[in-house]
Amino acid sequence: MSQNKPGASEKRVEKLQIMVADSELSMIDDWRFENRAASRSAAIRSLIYLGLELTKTDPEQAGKLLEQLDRA
Amino acid sequence: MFLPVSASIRHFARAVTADRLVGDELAMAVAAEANQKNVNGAPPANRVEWFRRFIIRWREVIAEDAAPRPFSNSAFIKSMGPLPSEARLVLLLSDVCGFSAREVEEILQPLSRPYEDLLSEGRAIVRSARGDKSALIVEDEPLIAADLKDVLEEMGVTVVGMARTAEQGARQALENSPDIVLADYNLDGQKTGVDAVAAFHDAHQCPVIFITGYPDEVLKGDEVEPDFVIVKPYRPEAVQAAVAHCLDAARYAAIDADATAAGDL
Repeated sequence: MSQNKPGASEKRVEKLQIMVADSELSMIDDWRFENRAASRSAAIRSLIYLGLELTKTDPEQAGKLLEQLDRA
Repeated sequence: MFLPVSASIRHFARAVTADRLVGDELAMAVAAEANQKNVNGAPPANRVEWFRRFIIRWREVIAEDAAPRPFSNSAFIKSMGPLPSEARLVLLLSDVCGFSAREVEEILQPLSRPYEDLLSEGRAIVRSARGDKSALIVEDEPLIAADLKDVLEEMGVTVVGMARTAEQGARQALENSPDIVLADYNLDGQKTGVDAVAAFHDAHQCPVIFITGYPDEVLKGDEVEPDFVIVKPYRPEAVQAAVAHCLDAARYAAIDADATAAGDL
């Protein structure tokens, strides 16, 4: 359902759309099952958390990984 | 006839949030929290116990003072706001989920007021005037279609179309822009299936309530599912409660906020 339905404004959640390749989705789902995440969406939230935490605690490593991603 | 437990809890959460995706996510997040807390304990013995633990854990998460860690299940659950009022919970568990009075009392124990009072308060909200909302009925059995029309009109919802096939239904949805669609899942003996659900969603962004004698075949946890399922033979109260919750999300949020402020939770 769309976000502008009645009641959507009462909630403090937003639905995001992301585009990933099939193979990337498999990687997310594998991670989800290995880590027993409640849902695909919960798995993606956890991965975002890990990424943000790594950026804070080890910016050098995070920078290197990002560079690899940009060069790929 | 009941839905499988996990589908039943997702169904309940969809009614609470009036949204399929958000409801499913809420159900999974609360269930995960409940499992984590009970990691070495016995699994719930029956459907009532599943719901009881689900609601207890949901209340606990909402009541926690500490700010939840961003991106956690608790953070998601808390972002959905407080639980519905007690009257609305009683209505949902009774009329949408099909629990008996004794079961509802067991799930929500202790109730702050007698079950009957809370249920009639919930039903009064459902029956109260709701402006000019419209519905489309997709049903190939004329008697059932006429009965559904009566049930909807009794609650002040205008029926803007009566279709007999899924194709007709999709076309009428586009022409009449209903606020809600009620559809038989097995039109002409053929399963309307996920294709019809996708067609309705694509054609017109409104909730679709499916009515079926075979709920196990409908709510399987697939990517595309109906927003809402009512099990045949249906009770008029179940249809009215489901329709009201799909239509009235904003109004319920306001009512619940008042009830919470008044200490109803």
